[in-house]
Amino acid sequence: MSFSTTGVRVEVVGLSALCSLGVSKERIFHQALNDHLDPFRNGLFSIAPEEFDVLKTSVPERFRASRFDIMTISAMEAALADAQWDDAKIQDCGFVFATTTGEVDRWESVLPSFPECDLSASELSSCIQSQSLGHPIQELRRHFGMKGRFALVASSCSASLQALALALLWIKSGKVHRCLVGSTEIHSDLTRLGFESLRLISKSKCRPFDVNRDGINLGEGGAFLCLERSSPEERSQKSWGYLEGAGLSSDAFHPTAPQPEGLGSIKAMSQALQMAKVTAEEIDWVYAHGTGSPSNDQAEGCAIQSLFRHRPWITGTKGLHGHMLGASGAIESVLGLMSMRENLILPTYQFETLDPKLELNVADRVLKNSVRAFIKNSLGFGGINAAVVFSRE
Amino acid sequence: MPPLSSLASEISPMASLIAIETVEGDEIDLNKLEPSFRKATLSMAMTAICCGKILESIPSVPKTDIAMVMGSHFGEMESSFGFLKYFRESGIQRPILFQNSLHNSTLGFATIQTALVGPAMTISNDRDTARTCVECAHDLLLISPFVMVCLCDVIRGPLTEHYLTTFDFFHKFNNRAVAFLFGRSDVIAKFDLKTLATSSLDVWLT
Repeated sequence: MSFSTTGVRVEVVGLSALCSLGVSKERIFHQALNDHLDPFRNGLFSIAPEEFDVLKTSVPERFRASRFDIMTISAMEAALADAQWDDAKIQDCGFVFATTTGEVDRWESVLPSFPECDLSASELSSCIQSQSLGHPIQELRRHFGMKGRFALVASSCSASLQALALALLWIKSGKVHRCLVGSTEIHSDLTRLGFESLRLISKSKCRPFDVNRDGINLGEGGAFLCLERSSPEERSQKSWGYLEGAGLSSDAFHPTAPQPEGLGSIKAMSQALQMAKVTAEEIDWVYAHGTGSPSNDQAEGCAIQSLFRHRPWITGTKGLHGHMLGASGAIESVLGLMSMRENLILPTYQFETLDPKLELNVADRVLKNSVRAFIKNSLGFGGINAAVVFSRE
Repeated sequence: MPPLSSLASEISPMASLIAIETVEGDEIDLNKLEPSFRKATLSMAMTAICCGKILESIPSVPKTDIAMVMGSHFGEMESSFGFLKYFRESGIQRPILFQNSLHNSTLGFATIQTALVGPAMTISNDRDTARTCVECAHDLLLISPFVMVCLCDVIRGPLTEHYLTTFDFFHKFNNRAVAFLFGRSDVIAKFDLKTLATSSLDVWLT
């Protein structure tokens, strides 16, 4: 193992997550290990209404009009509490947020029918502000008193991992000392009807890499990671591990389908390994994007088997919590870090029979296994690929 | 805010500005573009054409060496609204409108048209979108020798004046694509490229 022991390293010191499995990372992780809860209803993984109501009452009233804001504030607060950052640290920290639709719940039922919709001037202005991805997040930054460097990444399903990549570059280049990174996605007509139109939705729980996979499930949720500049002699007591490397690429192939051999994904994962200064053989676990769509899993599977010839364990967990689009990379990074700390490998839920066109070592149950480092991979519409490498020590 | 003439150089001393191009929406007739543009929105077409102009000016630079940052305040708003409106009126979901509705659709189309396979990222950040894109471009120069930034938004129809009223900074971005190419100082000489004054960016970063 040749992770950098000198120079700047990026330590993960706080985590949070909420999704259909629960509104705390501990609840979600417990469900991931036990898989007793079944939040899959009407083809969607949704947060239980009673749990959402608790979240709603905990945020300031001015943010309660949007499901997106409620989930984002709740998840941000939980991550900052986990990191134990005080107000001064929060004020100075960088912030990289990822989302594909933001406050879509505040505009999608009215703006498309303008001018027929009945809106006052102020309501119209408010809807238009919500349609801008950046405007609501700037409001949330002000709420938290954040004044540091900020970016909002909207690169489809790779957005979270791109956000992590950007934060890694900021910290490594000294632009910020610490950075909050995360994402929230909510259900919307636009995404649900849109994925239906592409015939990508499965009526049953998705089965990544399985020969009988037939599509994705949409989920909702949010997750955040608190990152800090670290040095070898300063390992934090609250460390969840280290973000060691990131890789980004573009397929330049098709608007909604990945390059079939996963060439772009290979490039992104290779760059992540290179930046992390590890070889493919030093990766114990590949936490895949694994959507359950035939084309995604085919391309990603090809990329993984091409790059990781030592056949590490492969996991895709979207059959547990659904595909949270831009937020999927963040929440799966959180689950990956929690698993790595426990030396556990999460299973690929509903997986039974490997697609014969793939040669992968797919984990089909919770495995007790030493995990020194894992790679989290993602692919997104527009042919946008991203991967990050986390290590334990 | 610091004076903008110093802003670009303050962002990263290792970055050099190599080219700027703009394309106006009025210049584009979607019906007259080549067949590969037949499913494109106006913002996709403007972005791809604008970036294509930059690439034509640097034929010696391998496309594998170029990353791309796409900046859009409101994304593919026409396709998003069109998809939902059409469904509500007809009960029919039109996949092409959804495919073109993502904030990231513009970037995806542009990378396909220009065959760029480096890091590619879509950014949206309210009134700071342009500045954040330039900052991200300079961040990506740590892992890519060249980075192209393209800013593009298209808001047409009855909502236009309301968008312009709500976002007072937006006039200069609407119905326009503007692209910048940045290169790492250490590779400029290798490709015998000329550089532009960073103050050329000021009008876009205010």
